[in-house]
Amino acid sequence: MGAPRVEMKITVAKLIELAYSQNKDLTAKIVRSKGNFKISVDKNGNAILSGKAGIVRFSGAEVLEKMGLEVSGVGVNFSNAGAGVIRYTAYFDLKVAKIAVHGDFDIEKLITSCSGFLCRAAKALKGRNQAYELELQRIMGN
Amino acid sequence: MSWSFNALWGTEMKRTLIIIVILVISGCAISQRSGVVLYGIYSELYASVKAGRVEAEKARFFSSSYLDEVSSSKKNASFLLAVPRVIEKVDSHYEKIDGAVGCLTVNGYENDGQPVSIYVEYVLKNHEWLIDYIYLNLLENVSGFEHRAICPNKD
Repeated sequence: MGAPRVEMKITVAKLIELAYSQNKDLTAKIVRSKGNFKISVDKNGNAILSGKAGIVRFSGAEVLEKMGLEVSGVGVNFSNAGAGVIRYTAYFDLKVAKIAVHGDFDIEKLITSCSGFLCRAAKALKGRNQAYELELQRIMGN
Repeated sequence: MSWSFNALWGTEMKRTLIIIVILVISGCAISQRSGVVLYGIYSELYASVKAGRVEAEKARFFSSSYLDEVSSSKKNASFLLAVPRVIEKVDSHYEKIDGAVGCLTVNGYENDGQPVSIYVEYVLKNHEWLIDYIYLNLLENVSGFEHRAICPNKD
């Protein structure tokens, strides 16, 4: 039995893009700022991206529902490692268990305006898109 | 005289060597016995999962509150019962017991070679150690291995 490592990393990317689709400018400011930032999602899917630059509220319910495991909450702590690299640790709560996954990604690959993958990702969010999933996987690491 | 000295010396050497071997073996046995109470139970769970018996044997391994959650979450049930199977190859393990609570750390690798640690909290109920909480730490590299028993943070 393999751990759901890739699925969880893709979920982190999807949460960022949901915040981005909710408030593009503020999300870009938060994730590009030098300080740490975080995303938290409660059991109802209410999600918050927060950092020094502000707060973006959005719904993460759809992303959680699509996961293979029933997750009662998600927390992701991001830290800026310099040179555009963001490190993160994500926690997925299963009530009697918790799964932590770690990774890093290039923030500019996530935020290169609407010519980048974010807008395509937002459009593809409603339906499953294999190419989109693979691109997220490539950006977030295996 | 020299032959008897050699024979005597050889006998003494053999006796000394035998005593050393006995001491080493018994020392290892004692240290392993005191350090693998929880890991022994964990290994039995691993074998049960691998043999497909865990559903029938789950009451032997998990606390009632853990099994309540298994029953209420169909999506998570099989995963929660089979977490030890995430580790294909064990690297190291550490445990500590404090009263009726025990904590076990198992470091190892998934089947694709990626490092992973499992921190398990056990509770003692009716003279049996039962899993009450599991923290699965999917690591990026082996520097994340903890070389001590970690009690999982539930917050």
